[in-house]
Amino acid sequence: MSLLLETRGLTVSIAGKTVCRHLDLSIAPGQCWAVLGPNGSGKTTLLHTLTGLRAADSGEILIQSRPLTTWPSRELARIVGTLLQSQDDPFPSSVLETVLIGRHPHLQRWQWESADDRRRAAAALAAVDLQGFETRALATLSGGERRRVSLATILCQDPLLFALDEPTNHLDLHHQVNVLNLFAHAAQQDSRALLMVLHDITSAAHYCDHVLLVYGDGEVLAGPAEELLNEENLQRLYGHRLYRLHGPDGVVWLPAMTR
Amino acid sequence: MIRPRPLLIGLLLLSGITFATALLIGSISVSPGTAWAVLQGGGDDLQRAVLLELRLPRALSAFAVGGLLALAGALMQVLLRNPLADPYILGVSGGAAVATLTAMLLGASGALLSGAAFGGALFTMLLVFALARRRGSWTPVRLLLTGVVIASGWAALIGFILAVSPDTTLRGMLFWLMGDLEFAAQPYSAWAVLAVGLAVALILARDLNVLARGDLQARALGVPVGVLFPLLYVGASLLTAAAVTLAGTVGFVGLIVPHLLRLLGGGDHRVLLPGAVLLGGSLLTAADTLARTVIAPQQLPVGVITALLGVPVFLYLLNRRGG
Repeated sequence: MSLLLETRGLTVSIAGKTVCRHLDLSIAPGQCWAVLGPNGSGKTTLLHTLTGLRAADSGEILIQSRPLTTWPSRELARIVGTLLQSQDDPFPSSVLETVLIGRHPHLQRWQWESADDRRRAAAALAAVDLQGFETRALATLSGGERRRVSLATILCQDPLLFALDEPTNHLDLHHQVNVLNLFAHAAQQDSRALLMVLHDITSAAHYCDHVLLVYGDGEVLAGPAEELLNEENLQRLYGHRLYRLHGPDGVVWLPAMTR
Repeated sequence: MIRPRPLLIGLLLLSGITFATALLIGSISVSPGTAWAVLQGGGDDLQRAVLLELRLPRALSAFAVGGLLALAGALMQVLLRNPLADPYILGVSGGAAVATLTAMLLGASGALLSGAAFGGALFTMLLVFALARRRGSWTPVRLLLTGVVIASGWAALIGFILAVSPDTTLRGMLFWLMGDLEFAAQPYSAWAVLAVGLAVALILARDLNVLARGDLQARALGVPVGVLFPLLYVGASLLTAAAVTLAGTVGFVGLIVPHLLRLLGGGDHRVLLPGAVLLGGSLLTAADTLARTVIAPQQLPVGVITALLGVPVFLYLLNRRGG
């Protein structure tokens, strides 16, 4: 099976600060990657670069073995879907209209959303526990509900690589677990993959088989979670002591509560 | 909320009614039967002159200007992702006004004034474009700030011209600034611009639905924002230039009509854009009919009526929806 995403000698910087230097990365179908790092280390910048939303300084990014920059934008949006960290809505819109936006790359220029597209939208809303919200105005939703509408939109987009920037933002614990299960499960099917920025190391350890540790000084460690998620790496990553405990569902990472 | 098809059909009917009313009402009333006969080539000389040489071109002008401004306003609001944007926000109308008022001050009239208006609008469009993208970055905020500052500069120049102009030209200048269709006798180029503009806008309508949710979101969904952004800017500016050239700076239509349609249920740009043309055209045609009849034989600037008519309608819809 060919790789979904591959980088060769990728160098990324923002505002004069290097995020990664000569990074070689391979994401294969079925894999689940967590991007971890402190605030401002460049996780979002790296995610946006990998999905083509901003240009790299140097190096190459391949999507399904084809250089990212040579993909027509609409075709690329059927392979790679990006969930942005936040979303603002200057114009009024209903929940259904918002979720159907995800079908945009699948529709021809004069094509309107079909009954099938509406079914997909309804299924996506049900998957994030928002069934029956179709006609609600976005402005009337809570922060967590709005976040789940964005998650439903990317489900409706139905890409092969889900690139999610802090998908659990604004969500309560129940919905955090639901959403992570949902996407981790989706990544296992039909040769898809998941790449997500997370702040909760326990979730990363539980749901992801690979991690990208972004240190913020140009150093990035990429590899299997079980090799890289250790106290030494994480303490250096966050500048904070972390404890590895054993909970009923597996490993639990807790930050030291005193400084 | 009205579904797309009934909404557009209703707006088509409204357009027909306002347009017919504009032909029939005035200092000389014309019955529908007579009007039909005149359009078929009949009627007496006076009826022919009033209908074909005065009212028809004027109604066509009013409809085109209203449609152009409403369409330009809808595009500008997506481009700047700002519900408060209108066709004039980036200074296109200010540039046209400075050029036109200068020409008026120098004694020009007729086609020279139209030429000046269009030239001033085009010059501003290029100026703001060049200044806003100087460092290659093309963010809506940067474009908005550049345009607003240029517009303020033009406003100051307009004030200066008004201050030094003799009383005899002031009235004409004020009418132009408020929007006036009295001298709008050549609507055909405006209709051509409107037809091309609407056609292009309809091709891009679904992309605009996505772009309205942010340019990163749009790019993540495969919308070529780098091409769409300048296209929208140039398109909205040219639509505005065509409207201003014909009728001066008619206010209100470009800001309010897109919002009226969103309140009526036409938030999807595939409905909003054609709907804006129909509703903007109807509103301005109705307003102009009133402008030339309320205190006839004296005429009011149409821009005054547009706002007087639009404000209560808008507030009613806003409150009805809230309740």
